Amino acid sequence: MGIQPLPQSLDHAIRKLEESELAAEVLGEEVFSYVLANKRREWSQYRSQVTPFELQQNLETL
Amino acid sequence: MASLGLSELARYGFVDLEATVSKLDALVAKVGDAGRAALAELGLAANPDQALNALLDLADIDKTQLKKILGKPDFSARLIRTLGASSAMVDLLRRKPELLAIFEDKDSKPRSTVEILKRFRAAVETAESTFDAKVAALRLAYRTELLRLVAFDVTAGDPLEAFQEVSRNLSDLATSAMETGLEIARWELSTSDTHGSFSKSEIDATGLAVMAMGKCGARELNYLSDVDVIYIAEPLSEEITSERALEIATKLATRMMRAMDGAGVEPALWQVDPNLRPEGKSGALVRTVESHVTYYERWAQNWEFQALLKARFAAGTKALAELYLAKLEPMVWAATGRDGFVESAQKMRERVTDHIPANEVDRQIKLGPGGLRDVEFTVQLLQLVHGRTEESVRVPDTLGAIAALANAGYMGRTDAEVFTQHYKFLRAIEHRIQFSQMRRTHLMPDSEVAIRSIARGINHKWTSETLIARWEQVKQEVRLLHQKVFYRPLLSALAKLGDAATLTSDQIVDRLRAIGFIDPATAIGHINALTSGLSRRAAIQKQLLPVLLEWFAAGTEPDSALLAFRRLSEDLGESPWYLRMLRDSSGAAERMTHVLSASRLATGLFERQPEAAAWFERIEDLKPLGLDSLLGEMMAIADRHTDHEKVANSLRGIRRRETLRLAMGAVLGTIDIGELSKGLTDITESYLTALLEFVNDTGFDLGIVAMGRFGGSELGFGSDADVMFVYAKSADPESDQKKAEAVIAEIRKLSADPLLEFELDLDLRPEGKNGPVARSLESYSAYYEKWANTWEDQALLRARVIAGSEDLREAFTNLIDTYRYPVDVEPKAIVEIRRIKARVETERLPQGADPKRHLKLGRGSLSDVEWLVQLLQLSNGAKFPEIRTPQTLEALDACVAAGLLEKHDATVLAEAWMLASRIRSAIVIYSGRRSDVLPTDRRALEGIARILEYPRGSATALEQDYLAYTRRARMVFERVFYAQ
Repeated sequence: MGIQPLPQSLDHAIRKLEESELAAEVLGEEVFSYVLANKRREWSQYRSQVTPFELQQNLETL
Repeated sequence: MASLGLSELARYGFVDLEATVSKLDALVAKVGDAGRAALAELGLAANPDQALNALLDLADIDKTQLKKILGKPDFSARLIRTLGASSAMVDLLRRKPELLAIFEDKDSKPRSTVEILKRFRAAVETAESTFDAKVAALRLAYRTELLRLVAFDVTAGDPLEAFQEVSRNLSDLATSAMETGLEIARWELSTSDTHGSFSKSEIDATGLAVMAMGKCGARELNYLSDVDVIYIAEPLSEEITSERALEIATKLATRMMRAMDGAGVEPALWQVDPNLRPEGKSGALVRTVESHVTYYERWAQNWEFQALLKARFAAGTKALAELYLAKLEPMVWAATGRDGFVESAQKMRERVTDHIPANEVDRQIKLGPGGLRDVEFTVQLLQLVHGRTEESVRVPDTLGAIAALANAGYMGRTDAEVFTQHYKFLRAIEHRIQFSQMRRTHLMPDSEVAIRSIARGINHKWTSETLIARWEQVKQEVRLLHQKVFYRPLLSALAKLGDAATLTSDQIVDRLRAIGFIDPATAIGHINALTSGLSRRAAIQKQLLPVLLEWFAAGTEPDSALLAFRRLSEDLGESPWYLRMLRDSSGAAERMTHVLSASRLATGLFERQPEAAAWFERIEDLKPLGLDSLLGEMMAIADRHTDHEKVANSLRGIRRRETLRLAMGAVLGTIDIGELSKGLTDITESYLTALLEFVNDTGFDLGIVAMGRFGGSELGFGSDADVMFVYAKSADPESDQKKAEAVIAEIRKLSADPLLEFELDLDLRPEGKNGPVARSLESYSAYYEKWANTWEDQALLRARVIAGSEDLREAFTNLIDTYRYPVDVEPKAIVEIRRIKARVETERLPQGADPKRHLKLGRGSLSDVEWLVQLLQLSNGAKFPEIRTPQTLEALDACVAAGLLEKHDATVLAEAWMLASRIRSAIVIYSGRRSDVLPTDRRALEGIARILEYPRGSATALEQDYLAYTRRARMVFERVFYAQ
């Protein structure tokens, strides 16, 4: 039907944004690249945390 | 009227002669002898046919009254000329024949504001008690006065002299209509709940002032245009809060506007345009005085202050308007001292000019070249420049301002008089065009009949040709006047001659600073030096300098341009060709100012070879000479002489001359980037080849291999020449190497040029800085076989042998082909290239540099594109011989053709690569210095953008383009280069 799912994660959303000429034009190139850098940092911080779920699930197998 | 001959009718100005005879008879039949008397008057009407037809119609409607009017010569003249000039007024009279009464009024002069207001109020008073009825009554009252004014205008004798009175009266009609409209709105709001429930005392306690801006503000309105306004509101007593007052005032303002421009039984008058208010369309319609002040203190743009120059109380609560003006006026004049104030005023004007559709330019009375806007702009510019220190020139209307500027000595008396006459002439035409159909237009009609009516409306003896010829002359003079009035007085030498305004040196400084000179005092020194004395040169420069100054000011670097011009002028002295060129060829003079004010590179080179100025006249000379021609010239010198320094000097001279030629061509747009890089490559190639031939004169077979951008024929201004040297071994290898080294050392010495840097870079040779500067063919072979790294193979992709014997060239090319286009590419090598690229990106980029702005190593810039191309060539060159080329763009195309790259990707990469290359060259042209970083400084960006042929004010546009192109290129690069 040509309907595509919305991004499921921040990572996916960032990739979509990177490809967007519209966003680049609306924000201006400088702001656009700043927003992207900011969000990439947010994503990497998010990924570097160890969640209680992971501890509970995986600690024992170590 | 059978006695009238057709030729006589034609002389009266009728077009449809046959019909006219019977029409005149019909008129006489209806109104008697009065109809006969009308003939003479018809002959003075703008359009006699239209007037006669209208008379016949009106006779059918009200024979008695028409008879009475035609019976009196004064009345008859007013009616007939009105009918002949305005079909809109004919329609009005047909619709409302009772208005014929105004032609019987003994007093035909325009009325005072008090009188107008009295009449408007009376009309509203007697109307039915509904908003619509009152509005209709007001509009009809307005139209009655308008009809009266047209009648005055067309019988005033000289329409130029009547213009000012007419224009003031039109403004008074507009403000009075708004005043009455506001009263209707107050009445409506306090008697009905349709627009919200407010008590009468609340409404009375709400102060609302309407400020007229623009033409209405300056009391120089035309017959039909938008009326620009700004609203101010305050509570007048403690009874209501500021918020409530603003709410009520907003309703009042909105209803007042509807009274002017809303649909109704009696058609709308004109649009009320409140968009000059703070924040424009998105701002609150009504603000308090304090809120206005805060906005202008913090946020207002330069042009918004400029708009305030014409603000005037129009309607409503006068005390608020006075408070508003008292607070804002000092800010307006302080703002004119802001940086870039005048520049932004100029930019606005250009933007307006740019928006005229091309097919209308010639018909534009207002916005076209030599139109009303040009007069207004010049006058406002002078006011902005001098009004800060001279209060007497702060006059809102154009004619008043011209008089004030002349009185205060900022404009010559004669110039002021000419300006005034031309302004009145253009406005008189504009008015006639507008009231003929009461349409908002500033275009000369295109039908012959309509133009003839306008012409006869100015002077009944004129034909359409007379009008057009006169108009063309006025346009031309107006165009010249700007330059005469603004720039000529900058030459104090001229002022002493008395044909221009005499300015004090402070005033000259003000003007020069206003147009962009950073150091006006020095500029004055140059101007004086160029114009003093009695030489022929000084005389010609006196004539020319005003226009040159205007052109210099249009560039980004007027100060250095003026200095360069002075030097050039002093160097060339009295050379007859130079003076002739300046005097006779305005194209050449304009090109010269353009180059001098855009390019430090060019101005620097000019100092050494002023005779190159001749190229400004022969623009066809600004094409690259081509390799063969350059080589021929250089070799001839090398062959004729033996003295090393002498030959080197001549060759350097040619190199500088040709570089200047290309720089001029690039600034003037006679060559494109492809021709430029090819041209620069040819210069370097012939320079080195000639030097080699000259130094190496023993028949020793030594060849030069161009590498990098030199190899790819992609040199920019200031690029290094990357080369390697290769020789064919003779019987005595020991001495071969020594010989080669001696030759290379001599080439290095002779090629160096302190005036136009030349950098021979040998770092790409085997073993880099530690390796020998030349090798034999065998030595290269051995080295590449045993030692070469992947990056060295990669560098060979752009190698191109430019000198040496045929055998040597072929042997070397065959040798390197096996390495740069390997049949079997080891996956390891590909990984290695990717790894090195990543390292280069992080390590080679200078500390603190913004990768987005680095033209060579930055994100999506030159190196990304080139590495990607080279990776493709290295991996596929053996299989696809067609992609073997040292040139990046050619390789991109070839890769697409070979199916190695998507067409779209190649386009994105090529665009980024081209823009980065062009910017790199433009930086050198603009600043005379090399830099690999896109500047952040706006002035520098502006200068670079101009060289790249962006319009004025494109610093940000260039920046956005570069960042966007490289961002896209980087996305392609990451996808393709790192693909598995």
